[in-house]
Amino acid sequence: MSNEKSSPKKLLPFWPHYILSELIAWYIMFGILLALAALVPMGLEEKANPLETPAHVKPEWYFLAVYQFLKVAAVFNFLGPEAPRLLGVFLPMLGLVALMFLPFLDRGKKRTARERPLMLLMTALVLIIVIGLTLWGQYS
Amino acid sequence: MKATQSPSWARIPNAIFGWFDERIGLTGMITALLHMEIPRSAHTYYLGGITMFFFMVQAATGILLSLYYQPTPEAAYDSILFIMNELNFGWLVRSVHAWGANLMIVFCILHMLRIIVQGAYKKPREVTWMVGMGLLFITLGFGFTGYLLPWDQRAYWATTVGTEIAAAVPFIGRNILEFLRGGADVSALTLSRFLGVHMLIMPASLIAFLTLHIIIIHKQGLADPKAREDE
Amino acid sequence: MAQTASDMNSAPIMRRGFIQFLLGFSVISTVVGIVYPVVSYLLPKSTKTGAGDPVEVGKVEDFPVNTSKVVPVNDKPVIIVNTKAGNIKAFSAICPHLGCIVTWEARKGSIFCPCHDGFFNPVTGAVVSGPPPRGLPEYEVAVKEGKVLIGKPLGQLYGG
Repeated sequence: MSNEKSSPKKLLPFWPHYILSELIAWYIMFGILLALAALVPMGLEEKANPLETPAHVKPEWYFLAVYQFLKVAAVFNFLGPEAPRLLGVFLPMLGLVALMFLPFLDRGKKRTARERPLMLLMTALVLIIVIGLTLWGQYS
Repeated sequence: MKATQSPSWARIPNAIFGWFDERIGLTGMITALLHMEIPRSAHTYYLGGITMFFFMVQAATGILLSLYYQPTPEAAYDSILFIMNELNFGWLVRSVHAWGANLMIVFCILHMLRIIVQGAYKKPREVTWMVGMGLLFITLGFGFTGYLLPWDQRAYWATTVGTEIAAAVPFIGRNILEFLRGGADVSALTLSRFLGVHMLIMPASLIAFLTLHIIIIHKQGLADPKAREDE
Repeated sequence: MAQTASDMNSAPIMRRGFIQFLLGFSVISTVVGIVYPVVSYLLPKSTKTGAGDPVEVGKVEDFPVNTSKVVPVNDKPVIIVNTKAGNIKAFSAICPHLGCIVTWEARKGSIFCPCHDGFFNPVTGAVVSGPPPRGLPEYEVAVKEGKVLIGKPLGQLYGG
């Protein structure tokens, strides 16, 4: 802020420039939302039956990675019969807690993506694992 | 009195504005809200704003759905069928609500990835980041509680399995599970509990967290990805 | 003189400490007094135990060999299987992994959980493969005059 480089030319007024472009973005998203809702309407399955679990019951896509990890966690069976479920639940939770405290784990001063290759690599790795688990969960 | 003066009716909006401005200082508020400048190199890609937009869509469509939805295991499924088949544009309102939920989560995640890539969570924005994580959890909670409400097979079993995950917690897992379900099984009690969370607790906490999130962003200004050191 | 002065100084301090203690005590007891009933209110009593009088679930002919049926017994789902050996067995139908309802997998001839592919032995209820930590608890089965009766669970029911 204080350095001489940030001359007034490098700043953009919030109003109306930024707000206007934000509203345009909203408008486009509204169009996409309506198109999706109209072209792919949300369906409904059979009424809930507590006596019958349908084959291949799956949660929503955003929980699929955790769900699939629970399946994969069967490999922890050698640690005891309760280990798969315990680790299957706790390892993703640990990941989320780590994500929550990310600013305290990554205390480096550098900001630009180019100067933080390790962070980008780790982000990419986690993304690949999560997307992989999600796809695996979807198609298994 | 002269020809240059605008007609009296055209001055009404200004007069009303002036009346309020004199008493509660509207000009100052508007200036504080809008008259700021953001770094030209700060690319937000509108991801956070779009997430907020979807929340507003969810609030509007959610209120519309709540007017016809009946939260009992006997009636819930049929009330959804009623919304979809009998009401004018009912299918569209429900569809927009369901798609909006998915897109809200998509943009929440994209927004988070943008922050990670640009390193915008670093000092002094740690609090904004953690409030944002709270918003992500609330959004996922919205998805989880809302998913049960249609009371179809998918809804029932996804909730059974989802709540069962809580039982893996040592010692008090079963208690947490019964706390979530309102009993040993997913039942009518679970449905009313999830509806209460989905319609009252989640919106209230999301609005509170979002207000905090935006106030901090407004106070600190957008992160400049070109800046190398702390500001 | 000096003593009286210090007495006069310490008395208000003691009084202040006492008032602070009282205030803190009131705040804490008020919070506990509100939180405890609210939490208890949110934790319902579970009344379903799965135990009760034997329940008639059908005739022997309703359960052909190599098939299964899930029926509610005292509000709990029970899977009744007729194994190849020809004897009717009953197990709790709740998978001890994540609470899904198990079903019969005819090709493999075993009980199967559709959620995470857990397989159970249809004679003992024990886990054959997959993530479930325990087997399925067995139920008492009696056949009287061609009718199948399901009695008490023989083990601790999952989640009961």
